[in-house]
Amino acid sequence: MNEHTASFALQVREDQCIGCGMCVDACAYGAIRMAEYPEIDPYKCRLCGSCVQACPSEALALNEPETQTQISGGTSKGIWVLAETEADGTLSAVTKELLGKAAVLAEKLHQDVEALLIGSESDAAVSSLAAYGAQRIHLAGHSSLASFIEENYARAAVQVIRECRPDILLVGATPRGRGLSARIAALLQTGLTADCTELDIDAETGLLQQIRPAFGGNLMATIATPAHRPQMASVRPGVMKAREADPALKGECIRHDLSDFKCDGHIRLLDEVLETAGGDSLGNSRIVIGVGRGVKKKETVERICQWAKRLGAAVAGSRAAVEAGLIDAHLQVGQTGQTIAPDLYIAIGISGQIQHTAGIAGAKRIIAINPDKTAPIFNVADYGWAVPVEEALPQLMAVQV
Amino acid sequence: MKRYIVFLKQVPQSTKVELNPVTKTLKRSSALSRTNPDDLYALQMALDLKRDTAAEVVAVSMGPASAETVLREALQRGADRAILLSSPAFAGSDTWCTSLVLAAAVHKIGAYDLLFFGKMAIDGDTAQVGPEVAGQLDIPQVTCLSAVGQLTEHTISVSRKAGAYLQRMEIELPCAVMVSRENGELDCMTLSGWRRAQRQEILRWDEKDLGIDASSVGLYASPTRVVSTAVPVRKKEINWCADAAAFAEAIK
Repeated sequence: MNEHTASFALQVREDQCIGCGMCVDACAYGAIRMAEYPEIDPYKCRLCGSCVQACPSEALALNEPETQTQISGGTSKGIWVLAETEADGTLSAVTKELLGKAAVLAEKLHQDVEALLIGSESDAAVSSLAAYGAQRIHLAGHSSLASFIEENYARAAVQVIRECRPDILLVGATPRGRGLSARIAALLQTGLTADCTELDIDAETGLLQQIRPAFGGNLMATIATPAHRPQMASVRPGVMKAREADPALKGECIRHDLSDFKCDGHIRLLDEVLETAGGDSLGNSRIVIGVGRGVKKKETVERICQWAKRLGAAVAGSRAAVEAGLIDAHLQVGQTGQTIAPDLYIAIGISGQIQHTAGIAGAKRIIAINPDKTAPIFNVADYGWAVPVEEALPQLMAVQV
Repeated sequence: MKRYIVFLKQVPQSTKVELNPVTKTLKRSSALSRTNPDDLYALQMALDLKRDTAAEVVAVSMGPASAETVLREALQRGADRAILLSSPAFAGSDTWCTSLVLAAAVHKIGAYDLLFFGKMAIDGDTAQVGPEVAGQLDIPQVTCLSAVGQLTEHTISVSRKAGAYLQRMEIELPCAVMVSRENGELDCMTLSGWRRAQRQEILRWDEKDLGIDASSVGLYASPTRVVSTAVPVRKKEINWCADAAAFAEAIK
């Protein structure tokens, strides 16, 4: 045993090891080699804990140093939602959804739901923040926050958060929210879990359980932020459910004094123009057809497009389809593409990696065509048709819709 | 002369990992084997800018010894030098601790003008490390990049998407830029590049070289902690369609 393995956080208790080798199978990184006892390569091991869970005889352990997990006094309070608004000043759907989840968490923790609205104060946004459940609304307004500039919004958010010390901060995993939340987490020196699909409170510790897919969605990981505050998590649009708006609800408004706020002098906004949504905007389509790598040929995609026209549907694609050149990059749906929430989603030749399914979580009904009955897309689909795409398509074209 | 630092991550060939349905263990090794796709576009952007401005392009990767192959590829593609950040002390780092290590490497490298990151890694899918490094260094971060414009001695002009808006900005150097495949085309690799890369040395730095305390990084210093993993529970019951008629009924 060299100096590295001796001090490594993952340790083998040789007296308990039964030599079954299940840890070797459990390791996704190939970091364990079975000799008489498991040998762990510390340069390959990511300390993911899979082997610890797999071991039937508790012979593997992740050793926590004793100096860990001191929660700083428990003075942090409040379930906060970082509000996002649309170009017209109205509240983004994801903010309403986060408020809905925050209300559930707040009930368990006996804390309040609060919202942080940065930038110009829009009456529409403030009243709907209250209507969707924010009991307290923190307003951080300043002339230099009229346009969304991540560095400035992060500074303003950090100033208010340092002052009020929320326990939890939820952010929409939108193009704007992603970069902003990461910068806020960096400045506050706290953890951030991206793209959570579920959030809960641990009954014992009161910690926020941040549940997100890992290993391509084959496993769900529960992540906690034991010692740092706020506990930050981002959630994609369409994943959580908003509560019904109650216009009678009135939140308490707190205007934070940002009179000495200084924006980042390294950035000069030259101009900004509102981009008109393209005609093939996926977000507005009630029916979306998703094309995957299983479609194989560009000609098949063209026939799907004809069929889509008859259905009044938009055509999108998975990352694999984009990489295969079947679909334009701007029509990609998934973690690295757009998030959509149509009434009906028809997945054709899509295997259903989490990369893709994360983008369709909000779809009301999902129907999948794939020859492989065990494809993960069928785990999220309401209806499935296990048939090769090239066989299915002529039959579909023949059906009257 | 300018200096551009490009960060590249080694990721599994496929993000697909099969589970043994009985033991709930991972069946196939998701061995790290290729360069994260977005990171190659980040490198390409640095190399493209180098054509217009005298610059040194430094490729940096954090990971196990096998991540050397990622850096070797970066050298083949035209990076001037490469540094591997590797230590058992780094294992289990979450995005915050990873950013701490990368920021320490930036400090050790010295003066710099631009940091380039891929927008997102295909294994973690967080899109956090670039902005977190920028945040820790307190330099501007260009996310949702649309296009890079003029680069002067002290500034870079970019256009970026901010929600429904397209913004044009002038940003003082140094700054961090997140790049994805939408931002360019990769050059083909050349034989002369391969030959050159074989002669180049890859530096290796651990926490001592970076001057950071081993207890400030890795699993136990990370703000976030994986407390458990579980096989996802199927929430929906699927209805199988026998034929096109049944399918047509389903989409009504």
